[in-house]
Amino acid sequence: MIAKSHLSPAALAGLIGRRALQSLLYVVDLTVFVLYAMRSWGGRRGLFNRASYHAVIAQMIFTGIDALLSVTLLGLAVGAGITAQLILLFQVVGSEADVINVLTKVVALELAPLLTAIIVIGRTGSAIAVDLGNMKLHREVEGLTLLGIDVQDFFISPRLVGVALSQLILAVYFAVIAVVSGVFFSALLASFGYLKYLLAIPLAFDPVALVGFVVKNLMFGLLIGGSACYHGLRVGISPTEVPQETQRAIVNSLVLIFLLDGLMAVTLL
Amino acid sequence: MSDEVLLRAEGLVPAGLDAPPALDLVLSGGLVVLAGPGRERLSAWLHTLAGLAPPAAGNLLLLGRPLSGTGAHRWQQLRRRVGYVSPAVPLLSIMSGLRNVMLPAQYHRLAPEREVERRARTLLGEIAYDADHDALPAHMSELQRRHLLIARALILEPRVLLLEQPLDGLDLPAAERLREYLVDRVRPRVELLLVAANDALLAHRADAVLFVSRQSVRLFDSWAALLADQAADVQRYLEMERRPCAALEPN
Repeated sequence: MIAKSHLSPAALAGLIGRRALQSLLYVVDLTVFVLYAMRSWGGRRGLFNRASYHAVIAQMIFTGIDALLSVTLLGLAVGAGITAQLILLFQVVGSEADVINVLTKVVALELAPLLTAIIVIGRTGSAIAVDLGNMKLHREVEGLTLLGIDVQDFFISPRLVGVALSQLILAVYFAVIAVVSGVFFSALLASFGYLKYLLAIPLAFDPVALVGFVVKNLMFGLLIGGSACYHGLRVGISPTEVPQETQRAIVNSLVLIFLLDGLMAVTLL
Repeated sequence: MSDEVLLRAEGLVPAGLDAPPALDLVLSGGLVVLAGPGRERLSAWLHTLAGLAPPAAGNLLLLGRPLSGTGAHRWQQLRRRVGYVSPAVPLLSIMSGLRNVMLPAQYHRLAPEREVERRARTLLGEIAYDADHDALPAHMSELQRRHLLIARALILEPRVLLLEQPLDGLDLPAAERLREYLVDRVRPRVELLLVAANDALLAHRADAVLFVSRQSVRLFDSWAALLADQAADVQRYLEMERRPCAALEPN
């Protein structure tokens, strides 16, 4: 026997409204959290506090350097699977300018930040959320406040800065690998004449688009790090909250990254 | 002991306890052991005396200053000068023992990094065991972790240090070593060492004993004075704690 649903249109509208409001409040909450952490970073203690400095470097090593192999492999895969195919396709249906346009705008400025962000979310976002969640659970964070250490200053802002800088550097690295390897693959598959794009592409970037690329990646990094820290610190007294908050951090980061990307694409068009 | 009042309580009543007695207390230094029946009661009193929990009533002055209206910056400064250590609030698991000890001094920029490391190694050198200070806390024994927790607080050179149940859960040899460390090494480094512990051997060596029970809270000049007290709550407590221990017998 199938149970009847008693959800009236008004109740459905109310449910959707509540969920929309919750999502909006979450975004506001997260934004305030990130801004507050960055204010603490830019404040009295600043970049050159040794304890925070070590944390930034450690975060950059984990997020940036340790992720190089994954980013390289994904970049090569995108080069072979997407860039090379786009070159071959646009050589047939478009002009040389179209090929350069699609490689700079689509592969370098759109795909690279998004795919890099997905790697950073999977590696770093989850690690930060688990890390902070466990430290919160075991009261290690509380131990630092008893020593007069500001949690925002010591735990949050170094991670945000480290992830943001790493996201930017990794996205640049990814874009280079994806474009260069794609040109090489297309040259191997079709004609060595396609190697000419290697010289033409760097000169084809619009300075405004490059600024947008930098801003977008920094915002992606702040969002990924912010969401991970926010959810990590929401862990209370139960160990079951650690995986729950980690999952929320990952899913929310992914959704927000795509929303932000769409928003920026519309704004910069 | 100096003449400066380090901790003053005026009609202080901790929150979260069922009708506790009010405390009027003036402490200028030395080793004071907070003892009495009920771990939670001791913790509530110690938290309140450390300024970590707002009292239900009364006033607390730490280092001559009231705690009411303490801002974030003053809170940080206060926590530098008034340390609080509890085994329930552990070391940072992601840092080595040495880094854990160095961290507060680095954060508060007490000295250049080399000097901080030198001070940390000096503190660790006073701990009477051969431990790998580059190991993570997870690979250390409980005694080592407790030593390091105290060393981490000491690197800030606090004037007042409050310890919550430092000997709790340790086996007898480990408890003995930590007790010696507290008396011989920690006590000379701080002006006031307030330890919540139902440990007769430590209380025996204390300058004063602050006894807290459901009915009363009183400061005794010594452990012997507490033993000689005929109040019913004191006698009940002593009876409860009595075990083969010479320190429990009056002189």
